[in-house]
Amino acid sequence: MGALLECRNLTKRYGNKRGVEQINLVLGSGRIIGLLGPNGSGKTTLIKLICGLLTPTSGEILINGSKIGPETKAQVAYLPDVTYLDESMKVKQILDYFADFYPDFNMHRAIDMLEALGINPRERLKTMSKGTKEKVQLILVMSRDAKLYVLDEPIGGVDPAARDFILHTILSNYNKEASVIISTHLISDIEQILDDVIVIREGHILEVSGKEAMCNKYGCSINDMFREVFRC
Amino acid sequence: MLGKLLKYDLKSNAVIMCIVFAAVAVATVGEKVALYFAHEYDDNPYIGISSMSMTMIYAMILIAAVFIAVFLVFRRFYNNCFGKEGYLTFTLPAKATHIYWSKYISALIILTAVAAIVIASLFVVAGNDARDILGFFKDIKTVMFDGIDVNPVLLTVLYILSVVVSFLFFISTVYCAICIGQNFKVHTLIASIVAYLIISWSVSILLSMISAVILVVSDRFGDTAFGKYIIISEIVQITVHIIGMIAEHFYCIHKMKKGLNLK
Repeated sequence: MGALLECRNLTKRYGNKRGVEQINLVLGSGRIIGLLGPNGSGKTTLIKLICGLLTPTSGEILINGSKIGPETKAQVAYLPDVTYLDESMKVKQILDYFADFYPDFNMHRAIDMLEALGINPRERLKTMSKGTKEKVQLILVMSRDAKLYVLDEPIGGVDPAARDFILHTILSNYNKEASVIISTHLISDIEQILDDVIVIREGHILEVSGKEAMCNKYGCSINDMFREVFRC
Repeated sequence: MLGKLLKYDLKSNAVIMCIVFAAVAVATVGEKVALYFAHEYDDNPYIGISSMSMTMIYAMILIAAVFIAVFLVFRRFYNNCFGKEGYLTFTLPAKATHIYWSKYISALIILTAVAAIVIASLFVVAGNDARDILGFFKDIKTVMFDGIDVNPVLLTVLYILSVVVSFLFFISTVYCAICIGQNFKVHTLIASIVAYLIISWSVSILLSMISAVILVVSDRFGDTAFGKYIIISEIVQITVHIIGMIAEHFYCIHKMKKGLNLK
């Protein structure tokens, strides 16, 4: 089977500033991948490139063999690290919106998750707390049967109980034939669910390997390895 | 995909626009009633003052309706494409070209609708006096066309076309200015306003210069060439606006495809 995600000599610069530099990466299906790196390392840039929100300065990205475009966007479910929905809309309207645009959107799954959390689909987003809005966004993304889920800081800025809910939602709802890329600083919270780890520093990929292999190599957990490698 | 995008663009502003249209309808009825009483009881000062107040409110509501429509349309474009909502808009499985055209067509529909409502309201309020308004335009036509050697049908068509193209150009210029503003990391709104002013003034100056050249040239051929000057000036204006519009469309689509700068 071909690679799900392939980056070839991928470079993104913002004027003179570096975003990512000469990234070469091949990811297969059915994996949960942690994208780890300190602030400003290029994690969000890489994610935005994968989702088609940025255009590479050079190099290319292929998803399921296709260049970034409407076809790949239909296969990628993206959760940004900001609240990005039209706050004047009701949850039900947003569900309909997703169902209309994404053929892989599973309405029943979304409604079940909303019910489990006690979120009223007739409620408008602007009346909800920040945490509830983030949960709604996560539900929308995880209700898709996408080929690739890209989650940018899904557990950043939420309390530990909400983190457990988010991780549980991800694990119990993602398409098992798909891959999930999770970008985060909170490594200890997600370490147990990862299959593979990508470590990125100053726009370059420092390491890509299976979690177990990386733990064996450094003789410690991923969290301890991260603290050691990025010690200030 | 364009149809779906357009549906949601129109739906997003539908509620507010319905309220605006309802307000214009209510104001129209109010103004009509006020004018009736002012006409029937023209010796009553209280009714006269009330009628004048109603006319002021009516005028303000019409102006507000236009401003609200313009504000909503351009705010929607900014929020949807370059605000946080851009994270959703540009991860939809849609081409940037479709996203742009859905915004443009929805703006066109909403602004045309509000213009139509305002004009219809004015005619309703004018009632039988609407004939005087039409007569006024006929007088203008007589004054304008009788003194010059020009085909009135052709000139009328050109004027109408010029108004339509200017309207289309206005929308694309605002969109283009918003896109230009995205090239700046801070003060994007100010940059957009400055970009709009620069584009508008540049086009106006260019048109004035071309018109001056045409006038000088036609003047050499005597008074009979004045009609041709007007026709050529209109054609030049329409052409410049169309060329500008095409350039602006290309720039906006390019910006959406390759130059997103989402916060």
